[in-house]
Amino acid sequence: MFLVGIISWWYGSGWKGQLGRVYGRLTATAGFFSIGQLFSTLFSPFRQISASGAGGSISAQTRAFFDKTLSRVIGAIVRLFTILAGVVVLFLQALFELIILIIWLLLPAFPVIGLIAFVIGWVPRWT
Amino acid sequence: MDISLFNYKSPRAMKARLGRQLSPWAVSLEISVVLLLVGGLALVAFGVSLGWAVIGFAAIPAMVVEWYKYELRSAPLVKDGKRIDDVLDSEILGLLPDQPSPKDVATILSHTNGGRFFAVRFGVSGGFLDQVVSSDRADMKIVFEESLKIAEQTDGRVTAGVLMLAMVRQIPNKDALLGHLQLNEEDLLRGIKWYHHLLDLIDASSKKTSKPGGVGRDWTFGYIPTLSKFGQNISEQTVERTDIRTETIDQIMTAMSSGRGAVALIGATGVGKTEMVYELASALMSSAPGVPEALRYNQVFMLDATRLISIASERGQLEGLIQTLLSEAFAAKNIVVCLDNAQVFFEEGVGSVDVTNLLLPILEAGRLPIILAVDEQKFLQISKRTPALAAAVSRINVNPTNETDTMTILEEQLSVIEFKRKVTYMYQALREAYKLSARYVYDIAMPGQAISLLEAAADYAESGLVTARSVNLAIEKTIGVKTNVVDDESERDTLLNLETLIHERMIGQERAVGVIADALRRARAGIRNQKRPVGTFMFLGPTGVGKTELAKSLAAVYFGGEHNIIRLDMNEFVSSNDVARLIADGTEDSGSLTAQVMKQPFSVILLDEIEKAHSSVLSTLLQLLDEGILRDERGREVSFRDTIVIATSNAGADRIQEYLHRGYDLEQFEDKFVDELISSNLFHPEFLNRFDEIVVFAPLSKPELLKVVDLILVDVNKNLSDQKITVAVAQDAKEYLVEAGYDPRLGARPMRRVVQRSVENTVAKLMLAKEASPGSVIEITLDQVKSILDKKIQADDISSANS
Repeated sequence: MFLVGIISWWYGSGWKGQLGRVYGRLTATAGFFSIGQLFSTLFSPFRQISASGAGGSISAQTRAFFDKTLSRVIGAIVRLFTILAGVVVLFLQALFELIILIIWLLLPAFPVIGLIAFVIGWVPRWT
Repeated sequence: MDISLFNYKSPRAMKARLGRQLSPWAVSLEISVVLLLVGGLALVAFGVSLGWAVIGFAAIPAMVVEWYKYELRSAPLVKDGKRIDDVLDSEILGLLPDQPSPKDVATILSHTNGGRFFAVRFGVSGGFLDQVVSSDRADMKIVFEESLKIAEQTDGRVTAGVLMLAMVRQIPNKDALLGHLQLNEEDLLRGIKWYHHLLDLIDASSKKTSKPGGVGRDWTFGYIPTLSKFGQNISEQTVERTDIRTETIDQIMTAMSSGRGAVALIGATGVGKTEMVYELASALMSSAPGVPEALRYNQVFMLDATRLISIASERGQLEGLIQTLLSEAFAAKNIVVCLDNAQVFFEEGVGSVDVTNLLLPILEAGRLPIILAVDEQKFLQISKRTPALAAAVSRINVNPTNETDTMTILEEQLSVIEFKRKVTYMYQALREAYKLSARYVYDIAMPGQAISLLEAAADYAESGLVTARSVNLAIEKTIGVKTNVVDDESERDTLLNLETLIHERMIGQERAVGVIADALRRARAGIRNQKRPVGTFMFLGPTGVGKTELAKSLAAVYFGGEHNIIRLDMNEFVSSNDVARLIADGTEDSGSLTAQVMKQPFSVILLDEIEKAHSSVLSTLLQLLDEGILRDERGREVSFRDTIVIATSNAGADRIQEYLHRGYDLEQFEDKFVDELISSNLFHPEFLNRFDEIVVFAPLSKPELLKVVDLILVDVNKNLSDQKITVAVAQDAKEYLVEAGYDPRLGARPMRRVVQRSVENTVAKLMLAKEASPGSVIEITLDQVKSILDKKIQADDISSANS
């Protein structure tokens, strides 16, 4: 009963639950990096650093324009790097999660695999 | 198969039992996984191939741990399950034996979290049920059937509370049993919903995102150094959102996103305006679909007006600071500013600076989302003074909550109060706090009213538990009103012997004393109409028959002293303008009726000579007599529901004398006399009808007057007790005193003067002549009384002849 129960759960609702948790973790990472939002605001001025708005003399307006452009460039760079970092982290995490899922699938067979490896007797040699 | 029959061998029941058995081993299993892995790897590293087997076998405890964590620990409910073992709480399911009896279940419940919740919050424990439920296994079927019915009314789960309610419903004298705990079935149903809500909150908190919106959320928005220094970012604080007044939150969001940025939240103190802003901040930070995109992830900064004024007290300084703060908020583009206690920015006075000229253009422009939290009275004043301000903001009223919503808010707030005060509240305390605060706590609206009382009740907790009694005590100690049904032995004696005790102070008028005593006994036994005063009485009769004395005696005997009488001479309320004095605000006239009752709600109200009051004053009193409330000039409902209202009148005194001279007894003409009084139009019939009883006082008879003399002599002896002298008056002397002291126009009123004069003068003379020494008893004879009173009569005759 115990064995049937655990195995049927492992490959049934346990597997679904594991998929759900992996999805949840990936979503949380994606949410943390907010890649979609960073893309949509890629060229927005970074932290609104710019001279005061329209009006004033031509030199003031010119300064404001360059300030704003600089702020947008800074923003785009920071966001691009964040997006890149996010993509890398997500990729690595996806790999890790894939390994977790594979281990999940193989875990019930681990005692048998372990026994076979023990019987074969192979061990890594350091010299 | 019968869905209400518990299947001990169902897969879910078996899993629940397995989970319970594994529970003490879970940590050991996790440790064994780590040890096996580390050990196996070490063996492999040292070239021992057995390590592979050890690593492989680590999978077994690892799988068991995973199974336990995600399935066995809280065996999930079967989706759309109809059977009792599909929807039964896994903690209970794991403990249930095969074919349990209600008694078994009751015992099991005391070992579950749900059972403990009901034991602490409601006083309904498994041990308590264990004593009253059946031990017949066959009775369990009906309990499970009832549980499934209750679960349908809630959210489908059968938890400890559901089983408890189902079992209670099978008890024949359930009402008496629950009544003993000051509960009813509705309360238990509410408890079930409360407990389920807590389970949901625990579940939700484990899934909460730490930073909604992500790392780049605020990069588009500006820096806010000044705002961060002087304001409070309430978006960073977690608020447990209730599903109450969500429409108000939606209204605020709609108003702010519609282009008109300024919103005024208007409501009385305690209504929860600030709490609404907190909930708004929490909503804006959530990814809920109802939040407008323009406001999503906006942060709400609370600026406490009084704090800003204390930092920058000079007008110029304050204007500069506000200008900086609002400019920063505007430039940042993701800030909603909330000005709490905003009224202090729009009026000149102590602790307030009028900066209307600065704020009005900003509000009118509507480009910066601003929330003003303002007291409703103050907003009316500000609007009257500056109509443009009222026009510039979207006005949203925050109304006091009703009973259901208040109870939900109290349940939500409880964890915070309990943490702060280090106490635990019972549900009965919450309900009592609502009921009593609605009646006795003024100047603050619901739910603040109930919360303030609940906090005060923490001081009266018994062994750390705040019960309904603690709340009663808090009210009784702070405002002196008796709120609980009588349970004190001495009070019980007083109530049962009220007539005797009153008659120790006054003589005769048995019927009047009887109706008053009955009213009070009904009130304290908890069987009166709670929405009216304890009793309303009209005493009619000539002067000096004891009308006022009865009111005073009642106050002295039961209401804690003669000072607990609120006496209004109605001959001072003879014009319609005097209505204002009746209901004046306590700060302006502390002697107004409403102000006195607010301070002293448990008292006797004596409306002396009511016939002299203006008809407008009488009309104002109608609501008091009828519903036990009167609105003061500030619109506050003042409760008179713990008062005894006694109106006295001399109206028709001559007619009473006439009836008596014609040989009628009081009982024979009382009804007719009251009818005559109604026909005479001296009082409107609707006014007289408001009284519980109209009691006619007859003049005192000679034997009664003799008793009055005895009462007065008791007082005289009390005065002489310091000199250790006792006075005794001969019977014929007493009779003479009655003759001399009784005046047909003034009743027994001159009696005290006459007795005191004759007796005290005699004693004084004897003491000066050293004929009376401490410890002696002075016998006063008829001759002595006569000699003093006759001299006085002669003197009066001479003075009247000269004049």
